[in-house]
Amino acid sequence: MKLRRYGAALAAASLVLAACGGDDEETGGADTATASAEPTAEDTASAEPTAEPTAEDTASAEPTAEDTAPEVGGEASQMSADGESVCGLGTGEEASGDAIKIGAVVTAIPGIAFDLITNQTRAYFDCVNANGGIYGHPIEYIVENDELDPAKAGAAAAKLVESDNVVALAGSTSILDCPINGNYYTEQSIYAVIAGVPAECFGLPNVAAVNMGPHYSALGAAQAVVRAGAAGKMVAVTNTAPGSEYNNTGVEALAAQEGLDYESVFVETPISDADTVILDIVAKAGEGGGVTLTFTPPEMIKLMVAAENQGVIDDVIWGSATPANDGSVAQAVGPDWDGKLLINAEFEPTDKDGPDTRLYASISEEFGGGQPLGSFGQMGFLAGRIMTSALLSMGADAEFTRDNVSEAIKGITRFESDMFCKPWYFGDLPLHIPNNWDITVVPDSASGKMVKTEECFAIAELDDPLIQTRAAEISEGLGENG
Amino acid sequence: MLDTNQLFPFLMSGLGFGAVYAMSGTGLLVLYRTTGVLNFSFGAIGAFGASLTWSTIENEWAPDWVAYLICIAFCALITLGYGVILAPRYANRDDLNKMLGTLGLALILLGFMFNLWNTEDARVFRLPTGTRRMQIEWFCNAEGKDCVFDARITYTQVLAVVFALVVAAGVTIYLQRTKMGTAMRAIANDREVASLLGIPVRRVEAAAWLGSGILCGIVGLLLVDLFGSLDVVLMTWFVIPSLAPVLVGRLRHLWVAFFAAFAIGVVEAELNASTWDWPSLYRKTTAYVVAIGALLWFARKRNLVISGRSTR
Repeated sequence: MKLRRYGAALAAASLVLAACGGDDEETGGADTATASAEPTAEDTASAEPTAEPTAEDTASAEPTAEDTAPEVGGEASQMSADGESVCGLGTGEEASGDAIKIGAVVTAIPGIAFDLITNQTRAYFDCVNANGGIYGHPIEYIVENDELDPAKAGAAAAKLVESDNVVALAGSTSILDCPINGNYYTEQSIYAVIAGVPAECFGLPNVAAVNMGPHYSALGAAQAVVRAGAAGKMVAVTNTAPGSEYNNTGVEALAAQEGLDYESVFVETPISDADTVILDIVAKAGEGGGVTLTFTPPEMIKLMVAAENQGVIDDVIWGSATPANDGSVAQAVGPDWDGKLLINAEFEPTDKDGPDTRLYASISEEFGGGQPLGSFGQMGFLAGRIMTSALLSMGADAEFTRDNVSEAIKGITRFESDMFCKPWYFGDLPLHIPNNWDITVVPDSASGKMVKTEECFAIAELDDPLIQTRAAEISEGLGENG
Repeated sequence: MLDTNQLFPFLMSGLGFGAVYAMSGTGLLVLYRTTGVLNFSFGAIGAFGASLTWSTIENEWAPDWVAYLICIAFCALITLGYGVILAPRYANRDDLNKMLGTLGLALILLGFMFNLWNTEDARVFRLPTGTRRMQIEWFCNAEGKDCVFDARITYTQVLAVVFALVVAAGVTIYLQRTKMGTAMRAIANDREVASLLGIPVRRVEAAAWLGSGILCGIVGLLLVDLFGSLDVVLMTWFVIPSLAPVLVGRLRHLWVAFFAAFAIGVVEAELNASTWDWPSLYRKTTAYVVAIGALLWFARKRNLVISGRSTR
């Protein structure tokens, strides 16, 4: 009797668990304008990465759009007189006026910790509020967790838009938000500066991501893996979350272009048996093959420790999408991994000597609870900083209504930061992939940090959205061309 | 399609996890037999203890070995505390209520862990045995290559297997040969009669809670090393698959549960060795399938009673 009762309890419990399964100073000039220097698909996969895109040689090749550049200078630049980045107006005084409401939808469940991003956006807004806010108005940041539940994702968007009356979204990072709420945001004229995950986040007119997303990030990692000499077969590994096939399809396209065999592997998270997962992956890739991993830092560490334990680090060439670019990863793994995991960083390393990078580190310490520095944190920081610039660009007398804020966001055609390879933009486009250049970093156990191993290079143009994006950058004078 | 060289490393990995299932199962089973409580907080207590160890090591509050002892001491104290203070209040409730009490403790501890530590950050500490590895090469050719059995394992995996064996054997001897063990068996057979015979039931139960807590701390430390990082959610709910071998042992037979635990660990690992995708995708259901299969098997000769009439 007891046995049956506990059996029922066990079954019920297992069911429950299964269910849970530069700033710019708008320099305004055209000194960094570029256009035709963009590499093509053929040369991006195997060619050596270029140096930071200087483009002096192409400066005059394309329209510069000086006349359409947004007003992101002055106070909107968030720069002090001595060239240091500051939060908002940088006054050092607490904002106390009526709040400007900014929202975000995040997926935060065990194994998928995207609130690392919204936490950093919140830290940025807290810093802005402690420095005069938006001309005295504090930013009220409202974050809703969809917990990877479609019903909750829909309810979160409705609450933010209709109950909270947010004027825009910043830092949203969700597996479900764009697919479920993307069209709703368009209807409601809500503009969003986010960190994108699924494909839909890169195909909307009113949503632009500061990152390139797992698809292009894994593709960038695969390009680095191919350059490092991977041969025979490419294996792309990611989690089983809805839509995660998108994480691997760029790698698949590159493998086809490079004449490599290809296989996708999906691993349930949180990973409990990393040793066997890693043995399986290495067996599938074969000696000298390439592997790309797309997982959040806690899961990456499990896999990397397992590869260390199994002695298979040198059996294949390893690459990783951006999430692994996290200080905790470099600190957690041993010297066996030094220089062996080619991570698509999307942003410059966190120890770069640049004003935004310095500000990010200081905000993370002061307002972010000492969260480890990494790409996720950079995404949250940039989303907050871009949104703040858009709000400040409206001027002290502006009405911070949804429509006005949307216009300000669309007006960003050139946002510079020492974290980006190239200036970021929003503009008036049918879709947005403004961050489409990449940096490769590798773990360094001695310093406990990720170190840069490849300079900026262009993500290979292997699909229509990226081809359209690069064409629009030139024709609309966006980003580097702005 | 599969060769021994491909299967063997998975077997070794599976033995490591089987050992942890076995240790957890031993702790759960002995406690259940003595107190009637199936302790669902076993994993959460271990995760909390391991988190304290991580904080101690990370902040360099004490040497590593002290940090490990802190984990074991915390788990022992919390488990004993629950057993002495709260468990007696459930003494007259049915078994399901007793179990739900421990589930409540698990959820409370999980909540505290989410608040006290940033559980989304990667948190790692390695046991000294986790960074030392052993290459197993059996039946190699004359040049020492092309081995039939070739795998690399950590000493933590070895430690887990040896410790599981020692714990199971030790518990068996303890129950058979010591006065306290005899008292535990008496209580397991009939609590009321044991009490009437003058056995200090509360004291014996407290000893069982303490022993289970010590095991819980050791399992917590081993799991961090075997998982590769401190994942409190995974550790908290590790107790669920750990119940499968206990059910196979019908909540009574220690050695049956012990071998079932290893079998589950190995099957789960070997399913990942398949060149087909589907066995790998369903490998985590192994423990549940085994548990359900065992329950159906044990129930196969039981009469079905309908409206007071018995039928087969």
